Amino acid sequence: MAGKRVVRVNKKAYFGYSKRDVEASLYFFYYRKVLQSVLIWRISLSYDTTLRGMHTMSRENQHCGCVPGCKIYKEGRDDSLADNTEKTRISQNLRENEKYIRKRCENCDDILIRPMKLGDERKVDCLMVYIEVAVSNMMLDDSAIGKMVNHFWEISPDQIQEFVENNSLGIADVKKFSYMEDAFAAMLAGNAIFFIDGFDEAMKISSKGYPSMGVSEAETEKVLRGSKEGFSDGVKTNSALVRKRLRDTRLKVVEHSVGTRSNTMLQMLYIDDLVREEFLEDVKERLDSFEIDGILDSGMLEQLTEDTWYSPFPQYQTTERPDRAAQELLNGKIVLLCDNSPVALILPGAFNSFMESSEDWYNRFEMASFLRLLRYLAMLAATLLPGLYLAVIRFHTQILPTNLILSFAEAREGVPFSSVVELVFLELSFELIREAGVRIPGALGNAIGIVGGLIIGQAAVEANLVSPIVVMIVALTALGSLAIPNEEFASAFRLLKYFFLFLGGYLGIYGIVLGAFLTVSHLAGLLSFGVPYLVPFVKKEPEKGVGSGILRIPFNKRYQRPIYAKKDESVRLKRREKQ
Amino acid sequence: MKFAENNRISHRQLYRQMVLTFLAPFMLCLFSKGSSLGVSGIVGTVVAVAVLMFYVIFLFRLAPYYGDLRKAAGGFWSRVIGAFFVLYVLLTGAYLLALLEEIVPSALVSGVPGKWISFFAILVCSMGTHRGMQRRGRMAEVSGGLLLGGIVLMMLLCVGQGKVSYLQDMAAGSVLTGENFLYNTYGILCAFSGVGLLPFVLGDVEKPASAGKPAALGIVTLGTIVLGMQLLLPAVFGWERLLSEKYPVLPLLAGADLPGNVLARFDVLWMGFLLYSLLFAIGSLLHYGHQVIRLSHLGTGRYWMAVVIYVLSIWEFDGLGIEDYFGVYLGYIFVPGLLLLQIFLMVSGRGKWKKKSAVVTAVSAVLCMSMVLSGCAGVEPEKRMYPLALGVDVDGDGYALTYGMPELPQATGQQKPEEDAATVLTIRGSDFGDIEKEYNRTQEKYLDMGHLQVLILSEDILADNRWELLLDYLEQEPFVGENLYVFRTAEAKEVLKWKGAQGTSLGEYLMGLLENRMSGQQKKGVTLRELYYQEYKNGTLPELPEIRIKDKQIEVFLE
Repeated sequence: MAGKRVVRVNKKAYFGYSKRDVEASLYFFYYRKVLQSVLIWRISLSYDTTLRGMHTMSRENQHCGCVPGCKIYKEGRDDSLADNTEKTRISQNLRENEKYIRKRCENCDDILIRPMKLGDERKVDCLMVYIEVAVSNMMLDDSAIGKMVNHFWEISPDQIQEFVENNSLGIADVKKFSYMEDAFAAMLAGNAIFFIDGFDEAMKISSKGYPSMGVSEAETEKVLRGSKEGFSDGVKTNSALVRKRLRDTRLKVVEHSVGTRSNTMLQMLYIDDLVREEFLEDVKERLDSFEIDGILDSGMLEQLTEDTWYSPFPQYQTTERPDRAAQELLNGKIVLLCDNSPVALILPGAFNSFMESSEDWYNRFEMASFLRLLRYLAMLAATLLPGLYLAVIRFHTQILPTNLILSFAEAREGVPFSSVVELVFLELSFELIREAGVRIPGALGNAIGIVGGLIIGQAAVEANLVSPIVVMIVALTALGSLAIPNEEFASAFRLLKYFFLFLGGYLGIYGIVLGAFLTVSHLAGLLSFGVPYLVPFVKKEPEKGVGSGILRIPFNKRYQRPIYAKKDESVRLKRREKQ
Repeated sequence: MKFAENNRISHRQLYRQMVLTFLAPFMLCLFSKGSSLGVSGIVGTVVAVAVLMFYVIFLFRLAPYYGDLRKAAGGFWSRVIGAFFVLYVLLTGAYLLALLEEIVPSALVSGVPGKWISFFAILVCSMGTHRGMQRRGRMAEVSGGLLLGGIVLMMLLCVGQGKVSYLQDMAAGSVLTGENFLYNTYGILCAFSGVGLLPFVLGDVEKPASAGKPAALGIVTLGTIVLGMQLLLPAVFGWERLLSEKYPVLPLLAGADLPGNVLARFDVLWMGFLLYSLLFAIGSLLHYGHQVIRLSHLGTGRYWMAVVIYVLSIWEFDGLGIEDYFGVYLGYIFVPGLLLLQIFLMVSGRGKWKKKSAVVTAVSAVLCMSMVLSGCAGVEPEKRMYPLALGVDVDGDGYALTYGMPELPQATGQQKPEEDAATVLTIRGSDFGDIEKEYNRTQEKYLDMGHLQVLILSEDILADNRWELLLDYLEQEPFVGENLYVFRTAEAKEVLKWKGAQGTSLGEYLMGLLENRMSGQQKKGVTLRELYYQEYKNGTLPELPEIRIKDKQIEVFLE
């Protein structure tokens, strides 16, 4: 195995590896010194010109190596900005290393630099660098670092170096670095970095990492039936939650780093034999197509990589639920997880998928179909109700039964504003209540909703600021938008509502028709990774057994995957023949 | 490599595009003042559809030449052909826009000037039309089925209003002559002239060799709907009335009821469907215009085409607009010219042909500005007066109209006894226009006739045939439903002032009297539509039910 690697490196493969990768692999071998000097000289000649090309290849070729045959690939850090910076080698002299570290970490009080003397006679100078909160208390905790340090107290200085070189403690996720930049990157990712005097490498010892909330319930996608787990802020936790549901090595987790300052870790999840190559290539292309200082949430990533930036409609489906992500992976889609974000991006996105809830597939098909229909009605209400109300009462009163229009007229007696202003006023009030409810914590947020909805609404009616019917219209509209399962998608309709409101208020049904025409035209032109947004309503060939339409088909009839999956892997459900 | 599921449109998308594009123009334009109606119209449609089948085959054989007109016909002729098609697109687009400008303000949204209506329409329709065919295909696929279903459903709801005797009148009144037959057949063929643009699309259709099937199916579907309307319209309106109605499709649903009384009338929805199809037709023309310009190497039509169409639609010469001369242009110039050019293309192309081969912000700003400029035409519901009953009497040489209004607190169940609103309003004038003016001078509220339920004619107005003027006046009011009941009485004023025991208004009382019975016992009233029918047929009125007051109680004598 080792020989094989060396041969590859000698012949041609160094063009396919970054300098760091090649060196890291070389240190595993006994004759590293000789090879290293030769290679570093050769690589440095072509380093600048080939770095970009090598970067991509390195990403594709580097194995995770967790188990033999595993095809999980790990991606290196995006070195695009590091191209022009010279790297600093780690010195054998610990004092020099400490000086460099202290200078670089000046005024970083959260970074702890702890010199220590280890070994049975306390002769070995060591240095541990870590972020205070991100690393366990090494002396007290029953952690890997704690055990390591305790062990190093008892052994001879020679043994320490041997232990470090061979990782004899068997600490998981140990990595050695020759350069300060790499060591710092690892430290800033929440690991401890261990330096030993006389040893020109630093050792990364993974630790608990940055504090995060841990697995909690999905807040925005609550279900009655199904798992209660939701994604957390940690990207690795999130991918583990998906892996928990899809225990198959064909589920690939590819890491990628974005943001030249934030170094945010992304994970791209897909099922190797289901995903279409063109989607994968497209996603990689888009992730490499920009250079930004920081990505702090998946929402930023979404906006940077979507097809039509001006559309109010989200082109990536989002979810907080691992089971939903797993479900979509089985459909042949790709899931993007972003560190520090509990929201996963699912792509490609389609109109209909935003109207689905994960529990649709857990409930019986009759009820699920009914609920889906109800959601579509809710969507229409959320968008069109205020506009239609205005169109009818201002232009087409003949459409309503006489008693009803007379009721409307009676209710509006004494209201000083036009019905358009009245409705806009109340809609904006509702938006205010909603916004206030979101910002105010916990139970107080609910109280704001009640106070706003009931008391202000009632007071506004009694003060003749608005008519009771308008309160009803706004309430129904709000209920409609809340019934849409995806908040981002619902927001698009909340915005459209104002567009239709003005069109209906000033042009009647004609305005509503104009708006509907424009909306359909816009939606028809939208693509998500080349897939029409209106799929499955506009698919070329009728799909059988997929169940991606409005009505949910019975589960035992759902034997096909949707168009996102490879055609030769389209069968989802097969009946076993009886023995 | 990118994923591209819809590089070309599917056959279903082609079919739905055809249906969506032609549906509203056919409905609105084909049946004007009796044209394409009657026995000769029906026969003409069947023959025209058969002829169009052969024409589609011819067009499919022509399609390769359209792929690159310059290659097929040479530089000069490709420009001539391109210019001819572009002219057709521009004039047809302008005609449809002018149609929109005419019907929307008169039948749907009164108060907004027609020019603004057409401006909004062209603005919306032109967005994205220069982009690929796939977008239009997807639009058609997602909305074509819904629209077709909606229109067929509305037609089915109208069937209940039809009468066999009216159809018999049509059979007797329309004579099948050679001239009529040819005229109607050619009329239908002209209406389908847009099919001539089909070869420009075929390059974007998957499996173009077999795309003839959806095209033919589209023609058959449209032909069937036209045939359905040719039977439905005379069955609902009567033959004579159709001869004078310019857009008989518009009031078709003015008398239809929905079960459950959810909506009192749904002609507005019907109009909504038609408008959507009309907008799609205009958008399609713009899209095809871009295609023609591109394929004939005439540059780009992205910015000027919409402007030219709009200008042509509002431009008038000697008081005549595009809607007045488009028919002549279509019948005498375009359709023959189209055939000649296509034959020329086939002949010349055979020798040469070798191988087949968002400014969102600006638009939003314009929209917002135009919304403000177009003015606010809506009237709030509390600022309207809703007469439920209308009494008509003579007053010397003039007329007196008495509007019977409901008492709001009574009608809505919100009792406010201290209020004492006037419930009967009588206005006199020399004619109905004069009365309307008088109303506008003296009353603060807008007169909303959309909820009129009963019409009560005095014996005097019936005696000296002045009711004809009344019917003309009511026919011009687009919001007056044709399902209102008509009565006669000798005591119009007293009848209109009558109040029921529980404060019920006259309109509601009479409606209840006619409708709140089991189906076997239901009494039969005379509707306004029947009055129109009888008037157009032989200039008379049907026998009207009479209202009398006896001991302060209303009595209706239906026979």
